[in-house]
Amino acid sequence: MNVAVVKGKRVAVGVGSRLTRSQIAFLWSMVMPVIVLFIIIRVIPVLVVLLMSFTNYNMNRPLVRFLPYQNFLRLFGDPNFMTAFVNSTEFVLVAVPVEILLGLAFAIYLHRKVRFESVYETLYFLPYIVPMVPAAIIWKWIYAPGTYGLANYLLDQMGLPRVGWMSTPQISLLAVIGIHVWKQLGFFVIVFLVGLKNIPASFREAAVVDGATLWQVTRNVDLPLLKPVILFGVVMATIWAWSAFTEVYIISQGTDISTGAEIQVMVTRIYAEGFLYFNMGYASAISFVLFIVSLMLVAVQFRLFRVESA
Amino acid sequence: MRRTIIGVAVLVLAIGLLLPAVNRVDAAPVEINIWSAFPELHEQATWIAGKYMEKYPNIKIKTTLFPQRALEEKVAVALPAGQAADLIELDKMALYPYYAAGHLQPLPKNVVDWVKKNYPDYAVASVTSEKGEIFTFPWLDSLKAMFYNKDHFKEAGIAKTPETIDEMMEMARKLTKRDEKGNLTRAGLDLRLSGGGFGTSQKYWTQVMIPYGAKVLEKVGTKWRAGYDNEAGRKALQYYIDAVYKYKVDSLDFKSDAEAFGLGITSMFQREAWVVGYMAKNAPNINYGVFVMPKGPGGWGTVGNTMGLSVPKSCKYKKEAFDFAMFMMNDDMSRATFGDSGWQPFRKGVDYSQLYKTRPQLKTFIDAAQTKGHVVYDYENITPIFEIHSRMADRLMAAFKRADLVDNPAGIAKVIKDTAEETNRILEDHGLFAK
Repeated sequence: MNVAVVKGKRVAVGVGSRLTRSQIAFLWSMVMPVIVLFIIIRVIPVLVVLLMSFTNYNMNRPLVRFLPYQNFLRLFGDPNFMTAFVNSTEFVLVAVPVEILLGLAFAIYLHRKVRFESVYETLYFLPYIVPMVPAAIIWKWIYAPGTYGLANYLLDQMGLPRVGWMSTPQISLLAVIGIHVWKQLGFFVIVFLVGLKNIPASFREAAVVDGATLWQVTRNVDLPLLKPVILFGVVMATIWAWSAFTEVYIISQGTDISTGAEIQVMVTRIYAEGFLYFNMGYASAISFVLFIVSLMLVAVQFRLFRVESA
Repeated sequence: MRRTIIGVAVLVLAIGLLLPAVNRVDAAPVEINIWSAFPELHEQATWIAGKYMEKYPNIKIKTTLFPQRALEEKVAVALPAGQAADLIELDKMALYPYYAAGHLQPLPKNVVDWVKKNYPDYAVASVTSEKGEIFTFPWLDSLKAMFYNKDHFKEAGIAKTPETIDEMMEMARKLTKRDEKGNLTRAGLDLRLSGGGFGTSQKYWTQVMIPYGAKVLEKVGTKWRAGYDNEAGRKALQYYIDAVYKYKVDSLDFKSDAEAFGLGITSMFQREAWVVGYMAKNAPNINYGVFVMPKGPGGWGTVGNTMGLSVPKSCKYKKEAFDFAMFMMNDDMSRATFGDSGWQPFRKGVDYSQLYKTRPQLKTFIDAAQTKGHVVYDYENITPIFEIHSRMADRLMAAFKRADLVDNPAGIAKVIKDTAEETNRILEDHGLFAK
């Protein structure tokens, strides 16, 4: 048993220690408000969504019928849901590697003591702190059709053919993923940079003394030691990409875009079903799928960290 | 005696204490909140509120503007919770489900009488439920007509406006311009191929479904079914596909709507009267006119969806809210609304002759509503109407991108059939499908 001295008295702490009833009561009284809030804000809504996903609840129809499987079965035959699921998956598959690889590349470059490092850091981080709504509106102007959008105007000036940024579904989705990457990249650059700065310089110096090249130092010293930070980045990037909403929503509003339905993602689908059509039961079923997939991602994170610590 | 004195003293004290409270209640201004979704209507409501408060200083009117989708979300959350504004401005199609769910206050008898006296019958009918209650003020008429650029017409040697949709397509082909690389530089006819939501299906309904005689919904007894899985519906889609891929009078990669018309890169497009206000503010040098929707082989008419103004059941000051709403729609305010914002009031019997001198285009909208044979359609009062039109728009927009539908009757028929099946499925979900 570990023993600590508190105000001159020896107190048992750690595994096997015994707390008095009043101490336990005090601890519970401190923890309970947080637990209660967590239950109210997190647990109950999840349970309510789960419950609603088994009903035909519609905000405009007070009668509620229990649907044991119909909402979930409908998902597989709903082209809108399938489009949203595939698009969200593409979002993750494209955005996550790009964010992580670019974030790492910029962080490693900035860590090499380049001139004006803090200026570059600020520039990379700026999009992250710009609210998504105005940022997406600016990008809408960039992607506007004809030569009224900056992107096509520049292509025209270079003698290149124009691109249907907002009229070709495959391109539109990639264009929106581009906005997402542009917005989040700064976060990953900073996170990886902090990770790199926490690696003791003596490790690199030792490798250099042993004749390691710059690439070998990066590959054999920096990257292995940065692994927990990279794992954190991958999981965060995956969750953010999987639950992207604002950039897709803003870009798909207005008469300059003709691919709104084709670039929908999971959360825009939930929004449309729940808040435009008031089909709360069906929207809850989609939410539950989103929740389960997110939960699986978190489970992967825990598993990877356990492997790391083992 | 002593008891009496004490009793009187207590009574005086109680009255003394209560009086200021009573005075405070009397003096407390009644606050009426209005939520709007369009900047020009918000400005108008704010201006009218100022006039009203001059007349009734104890009533405070607060106006708040939201982007349209944000307002729809806010209403969806706040109205069922009894936390919405006292007056809500939304399309009646969006308001009806709230009425059906019991969240909106039907107009009281005196207001119903006033509405029936001052509004055309079809306006009253459009906001009357099956129970015979009027669930919202038929404030504004979003009647659609065609805008055209007079200079483009003159340049192309076109001396008149089209009377039929076939004639319109012929003119559009003459008006369309391209650069040496083949890129569109001027759309002869902006068909509103983009944008999504019910706006896209609404323009499509007006532009081609009505002329070909197709209906989004047809009533069978007391229920409904899709009314476009037929020859008229297929011809309507064919018209759009031909316009984009055969005659190339419009493109998915081209600016559209009022902005494009204001930039002078569209020769013809369909919209509501508010564009007149928009043009005056943003493109005063464009020389343009307005004509009623052209006829087709199956019909002649337009869509005049109603912008409603509703009072929630949770409103604390219903009488005042209804009173202010009627003030907003009196003759003077209707003239001001039409002139300043361009939004067309539904009111009848208002003299706009002075207004026509400076904005002659507005006359077409008023005349269109009264032209014999020209039918003004509105959305049906059924709960899933918004969903039906929005999902239809999603499918139409996907079809507009398909060049393979040119001279492909089977492909067109499949698109129409699938879309109609979805419409019927939604109706069935709500117990409204006529089998």
